[in-house]
Amino acid sequence: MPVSHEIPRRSPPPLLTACVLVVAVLAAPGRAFSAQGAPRTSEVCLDCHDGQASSLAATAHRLPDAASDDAAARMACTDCHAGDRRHWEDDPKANPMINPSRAGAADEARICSGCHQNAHQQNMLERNAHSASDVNCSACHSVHGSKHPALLREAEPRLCFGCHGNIEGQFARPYRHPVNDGIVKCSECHTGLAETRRGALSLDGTNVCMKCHAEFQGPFRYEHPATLDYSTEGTGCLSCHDPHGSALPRMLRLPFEGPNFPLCTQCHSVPRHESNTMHGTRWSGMPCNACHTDIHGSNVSHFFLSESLESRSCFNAGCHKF
Amino acid sequence: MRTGSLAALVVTLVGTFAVSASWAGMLEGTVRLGGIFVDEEGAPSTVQETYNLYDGFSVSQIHLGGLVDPRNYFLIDLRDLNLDSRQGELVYRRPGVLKLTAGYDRHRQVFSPDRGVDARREDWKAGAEVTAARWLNLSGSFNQLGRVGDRLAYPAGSVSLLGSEYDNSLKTGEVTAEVRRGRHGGAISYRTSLYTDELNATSDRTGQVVSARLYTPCKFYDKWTHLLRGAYGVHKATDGGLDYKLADFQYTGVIQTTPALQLKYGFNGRRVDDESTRLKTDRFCNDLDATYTYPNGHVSAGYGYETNDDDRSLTSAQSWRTGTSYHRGKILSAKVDYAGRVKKDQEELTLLKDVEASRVSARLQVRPVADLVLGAGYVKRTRDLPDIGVQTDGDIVNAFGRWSRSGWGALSGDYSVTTDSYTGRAGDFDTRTLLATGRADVERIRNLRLSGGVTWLDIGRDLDIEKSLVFVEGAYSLFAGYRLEAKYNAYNYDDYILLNRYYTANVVQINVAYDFHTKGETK
Repeated sequence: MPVSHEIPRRSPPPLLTACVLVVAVLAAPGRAFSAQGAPRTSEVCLDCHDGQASSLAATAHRLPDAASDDAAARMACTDCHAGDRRHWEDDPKANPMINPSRAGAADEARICSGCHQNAHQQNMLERNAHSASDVNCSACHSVHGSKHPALLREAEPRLCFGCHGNIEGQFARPYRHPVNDGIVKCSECHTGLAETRRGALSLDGTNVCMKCHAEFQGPFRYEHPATLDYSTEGTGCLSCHDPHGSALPRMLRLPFEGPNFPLCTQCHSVPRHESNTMHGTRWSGMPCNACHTDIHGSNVSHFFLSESLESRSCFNAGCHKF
Repeated sequence: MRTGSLAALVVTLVGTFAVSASWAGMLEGTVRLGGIFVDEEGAPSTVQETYNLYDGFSVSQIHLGGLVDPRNYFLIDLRDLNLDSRQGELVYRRPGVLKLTAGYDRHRQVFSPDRGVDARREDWKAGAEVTAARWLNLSGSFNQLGRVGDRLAYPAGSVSLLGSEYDNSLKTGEVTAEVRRGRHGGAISYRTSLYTDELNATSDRTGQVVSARLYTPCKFYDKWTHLLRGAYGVHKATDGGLDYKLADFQYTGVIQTTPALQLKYGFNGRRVDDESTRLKTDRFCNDLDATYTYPNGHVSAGYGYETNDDDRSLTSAQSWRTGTSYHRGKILSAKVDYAGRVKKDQEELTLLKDVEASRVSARLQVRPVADLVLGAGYVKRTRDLPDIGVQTDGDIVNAFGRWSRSGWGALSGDYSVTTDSYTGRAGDFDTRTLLATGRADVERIRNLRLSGGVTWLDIGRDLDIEKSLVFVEGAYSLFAGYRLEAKYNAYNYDDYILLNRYYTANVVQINVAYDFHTKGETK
């Protein structure tokens, strides 16, 4: 039996801590944004690299035009391409400027973080599978312009399948999320782009599946422990479902079929359920959810039994007194 | 009426931009008109790819994009305007200042052979992002997901006690304020959700989460960066009055002593206070990772320890991972990873008790000549629950190749074999999945682009299912800006164990497309 005790009304210490720290950031002395050792310039670059200005024009990286009065606030080539003036004053080949797209993940992330310090950027420095595999920003983003949102090289899911080819195959299975149909995007579930939890499927601690399937989100008066983890880390929803794709209906990992119903018996081996003399032959092949209806969580029974069984006096009265 | 209004709006926009000589910038777009012809037999519920197909005339796409001023960028993309599979996306962006987005998507799920039993989803979304100053970014978004239609009992033939219809909606919203200054940055977000079910009020739920994050270098040692996150939220079942509260705190410290060596320490503490179970669940995780990067690759290793205490049981888990990669320019790249995790149930009170899991993956890719890439991969996963006698194993072996040459086209193929086995006390379950995909794109013929591809899936052993998807498509340039596009898809599905689970469909889609591009100058 669960231990019963009062739930204290607690203040949220992590939130308060974070608020204080954000205020501290505003008060702290900032470092001036500058190119790494090079004077900020663009005009001299375009003398040789003509055409680059027009490729950047439709992006937030666009260079200031001659008539612009906000040149200091806009991008300069040397903000990303660090180097020194010998590149354009002396020998360009002997003094190459840095090309961030050819840098490693950590090096390019450091350059991009000069401006981009959003959750996704922060995550590249925390636990991120892409940075751990040395996949740099330019592997996904085309900084000099793209017709796709966020300057992605290609739209999802094609962008992701470029490396995760084995996952593409899973989405060919009969029961799957509609990713190939353009209805669900990889990044809608893999919030690892903006979050750091292991498995990258948790959004501020909340199970990411509930972003769409809110009807299965707690609290229920009686929770199914398999989903009680509030995230998919401890498998949670993934105990029973394979979101990428399955050969079984409802994207189930194991068959929900008699006589053994492996989906349920993978965890539950319940006495008297295999050969129940009281239910006689009617028991044979009867699916578990014929009685245990509200398997994601119930407000009626801690065995997730259906209300109709209660009205027929099967439980709480009659044979099954709980 | 809705379709007519949208079309009128688009025509007005195009006309305005096209005839006006007083704007500076450019406009480009594509209009596609055509039709879809579907010939099918069997149970369409078996092939998801055809759920959203509607027979008949179609305003397939109106796509407009351009620059005005030229600092204002906009995009309008509308698909299947006159059909129930319609989608739309609008974007307005003034780079570095403002971004507005809106979207709509409608699709259906089919449950019965005659398409008479189905459910429909509608997704509305809108968002705004304002860069108020170089150091301040404000953003907000709103989503509404609605689902109406038939609900089918599972397994087929049983009577569902959950009802026979869907009529629910989920509304979510989020606002974020983000600041940054030099190497310091942070943000505060508020997220809210509201789920309502018109047919079952006990399902109604609300949620609110406030979160914050911070990114700052150490004051005394600038090669050490602190990253912090915190969140606090409440989820509530409105009808029952139950709630659970969730507090989460994360700290990551990254030390980069040299460009080659990076050390990371991560801590995560979380409490879930669940009023329904009257339990408080506390979880603490500690992770330490080191990565050494050299010009031709990297080596990494890490260790983690976590505890989970839910007032009833105490479990702890140790995890470790290691990996290395090697590359030689674009000619060769190889990567191997291993990760393992052992969870111990300290008091043997949980249902599953101890759990051991591991994962090994390896990948090799070579580029013998500039146009050709060949590769192979292997993944092995195991999960063992010795106390309840359950073991699961999974292997994936795949090989792939891609050839492409500018002006000629591309050829690609991928073949994989996946085996999954489950052994439990009640029985075993084994499947072996063979998957082959191939695709060819031809660019060599003047005014004609051709593509074709096949996906073939064979799921065997305890199941016996075959599925194939074939497509051939071509686009022929008729004259300035006009194209004739045709696409043929064939879908096949056969379940050799379950009767009446077969499906075959031939789908032809024909469109006439018009591409335009105009450029305006300031008067």
